[in-house]
Amino acid sequence: MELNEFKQSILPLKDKLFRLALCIVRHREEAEDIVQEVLLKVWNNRLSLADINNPAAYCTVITKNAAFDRLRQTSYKIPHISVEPHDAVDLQTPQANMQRKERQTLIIRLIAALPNDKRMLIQLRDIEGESYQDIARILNISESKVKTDLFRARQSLKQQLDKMNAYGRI
Amino acid sequence: MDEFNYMEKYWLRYIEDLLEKYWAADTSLEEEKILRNFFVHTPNLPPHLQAYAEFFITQQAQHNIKLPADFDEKLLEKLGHGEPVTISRSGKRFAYSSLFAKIAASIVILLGTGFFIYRGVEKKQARNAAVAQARETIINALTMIADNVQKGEEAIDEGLKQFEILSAHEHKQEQKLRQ
Repeated sequence: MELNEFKQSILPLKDKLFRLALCIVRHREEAEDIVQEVLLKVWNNRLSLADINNPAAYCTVITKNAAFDRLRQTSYKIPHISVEPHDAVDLQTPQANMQRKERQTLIIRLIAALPNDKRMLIQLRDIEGESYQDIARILNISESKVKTDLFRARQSLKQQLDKMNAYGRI
Repeated sequence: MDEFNYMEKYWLRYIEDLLEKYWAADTSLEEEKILRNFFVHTPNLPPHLQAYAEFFITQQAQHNIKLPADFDEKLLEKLGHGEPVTISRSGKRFAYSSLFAKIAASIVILLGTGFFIYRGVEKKQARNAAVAQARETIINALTMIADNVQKGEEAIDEGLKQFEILSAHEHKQEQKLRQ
């Protein structure tokens, strides 16, 4: 693989890999470092990349593994949540924007409080829009388990959202 | 106007049905995209949908998170001219070094334990040898004492015999003198 090919086929995956690493380690600098490490590794092994059917899924798997490795090594020094909300829609007034940011922070915290496997499912399905088949391959579990666990994760989030709604926090 | 309301109600009903399917993890990717677009782009929702709207807006917002703009530049600088790149901070390498450290520590512990066990055995053997030697020395000494005591007893017996003979001789001489 030449540098141009790497830039065209692998480098565009960087943001998706970053979001996955961020979902696992929940720290921006650590996640950025992980993506750089993964892409350097893919570049170093570029000769064997020709044998891989789905380079995107391959990169996702090694990012997931690298992030969990990093989490095991450094979990004691990574602050719990350092993910900030990112506005999708700019509202008319700064006050409305501020309120939206607060609500998003609450929802991000709800997602972040899920166990690792459920959080990964929400990330891969709801944020990245991956198919059940690809999620099963990335997480190395069956498609039926993907569906069952996703059902549980979404039910847990729905309960929390309903509670927040009942307390008027959302 | 009536037609618009009818369309709106129909659309809301469709979204509510999709939401039910979504929470049951029964929606397709396409249906999930419809939900997300609806909530991101529809202002003034009915209150029972408002709470869920923020959830889908947050999903959309999270999808827009990107690496810093200078990431490509830093990475391509490291890629150089196609040569293999040294990964300065690799979790795997850390894991390997940690593994090597564990193996090395285990070897040191094993060698240390082995050394002390060996030293212990050696000391025990030396102590056993010293005890055996001491026992032999004591036995020799006791044998020697026993021999000497026996010799002494024999000498005493001899002396006593001599004494008895002399006594008997003296007794005979006394009797002769009295006669």
